[in-house]
Amino acid sequence: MRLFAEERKLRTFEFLLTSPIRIHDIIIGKFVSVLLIYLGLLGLTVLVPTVLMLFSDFDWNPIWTGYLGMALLGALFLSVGVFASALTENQIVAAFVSFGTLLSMWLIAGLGSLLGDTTAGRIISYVSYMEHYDRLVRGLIDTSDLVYFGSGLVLMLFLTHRVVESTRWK
Amino acid sequence: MNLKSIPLGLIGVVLAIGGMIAYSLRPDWLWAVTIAEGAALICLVLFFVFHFETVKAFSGRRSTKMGLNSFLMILLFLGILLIVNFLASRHSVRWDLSENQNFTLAPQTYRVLRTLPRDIKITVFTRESDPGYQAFKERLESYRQASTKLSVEFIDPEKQPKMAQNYGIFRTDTAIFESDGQTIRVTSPSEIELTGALIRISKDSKKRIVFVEGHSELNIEDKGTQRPFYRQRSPDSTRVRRRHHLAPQGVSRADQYVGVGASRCTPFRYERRARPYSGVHRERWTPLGVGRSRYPDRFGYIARSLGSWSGPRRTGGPARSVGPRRPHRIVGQNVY
Repeated sequence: MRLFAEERKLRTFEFLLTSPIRIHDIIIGKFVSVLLIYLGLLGLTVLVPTVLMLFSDFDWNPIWTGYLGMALLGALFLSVGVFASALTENQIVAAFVSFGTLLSMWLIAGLGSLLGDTTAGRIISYVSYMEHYDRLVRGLIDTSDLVYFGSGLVLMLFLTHRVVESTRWK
Repeated sequence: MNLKSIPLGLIGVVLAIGGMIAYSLRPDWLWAVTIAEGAALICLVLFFVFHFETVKAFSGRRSTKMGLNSFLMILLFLGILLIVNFLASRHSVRWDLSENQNFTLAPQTYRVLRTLPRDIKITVFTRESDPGYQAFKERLESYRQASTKLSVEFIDPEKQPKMAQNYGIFRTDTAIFESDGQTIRVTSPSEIELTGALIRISKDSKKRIVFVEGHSELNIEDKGTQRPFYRQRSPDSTRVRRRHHLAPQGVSRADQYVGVGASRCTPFRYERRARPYSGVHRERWTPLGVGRSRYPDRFGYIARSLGSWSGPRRTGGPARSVGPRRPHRIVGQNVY
């Protein structure tokens, strides 16, 4: 939440924009930094199945796909957070915007299941991340899910780029 | 009232978006969509007419040009992502790493799904807490991925009891397969059951029941009590006819020998209790091997109706013991 909001608040945002790096370098740099922290934290949880492995025999494949799902979902959430942070200089507002966005994307799955197997229902279900994440957790790697997470991530970073760039001409 | 003071632009945009949403949700409400879109167009035209100078000044600003440019770039980018996602969902590749290969179907199932002749609707009555929910969901999703002719809908019978009542659902974890007026219900999410139901419901031909007539057998067009049970106009006989999708046909003795209904005959006999049981006739189709030796090649199997269609008789007794006229002899052709 502080990635861009704090820069604006501390008036260091102008320094960033006038520094000899491009906007997408700034965005990617900030995003990768939070992603690495997240992956580091997620990586620590591998200890749990590793310890369990000593006492029991189980299939590791669904666990790896589950971790892949967690990593992709986390990356998507972080990109939404980066975008929300770029919108405002108040990190509380940024937090509300990102939580609200993610909550709506989660709840929209319910609307999709209400509409059933119609075109609108399928589109709405596809937009929600839960369906894609569920499949990965259950041990299914589907290229459409990977494309979904990749698209969401790229879209959010692109929107962030547009928002950051807009400060130059607003 | 000054027309310039009305936020025509905002009203126009709201109406336009509302019309599009209404069309996507209810395409049959075309009149409402037309009215909304027409009103939106009028509002927007009026807005441009009344605020022409404002619009002109606004469009000349640098921020407007850059903003519009940015907006178009976002739209373009969204369009590209939509196309990529559409293609990815249509031509996805899957790696099933689940422990029990839950998402992988048998080659035979894929063959059945590829050759489905028409659309099939599957309605699953289940709740998320039910044991079969996940299995139904995973398996039917794989089925739907493999065929565009399947549509699957999950219904919670507690939330939509009316729907469950219409389908006669008395237990959850029940899937109803519907196609071309036929209905099959499946209560197990196993692949064997689901694929079997698909095979049965996608058959184009009806079950045929062929009655031997002439040579003192009853005619299927006989009136009154002499009519076969399934041709009587009682609620019971109608129910049986519908349930078994029967297409009755008479066949003369001579035709037997040239092999009418010879292909894919399955033996059965029709049993009916002499006395109505609780006011409802109990009928049963059971496989029968008798008569097989008499017409083995032409018909595959011949089934006889055991006992007459009316009057006192003993179930299982020979046909000739009933009276002067023989009862119908049945050559059954079963579809599956």
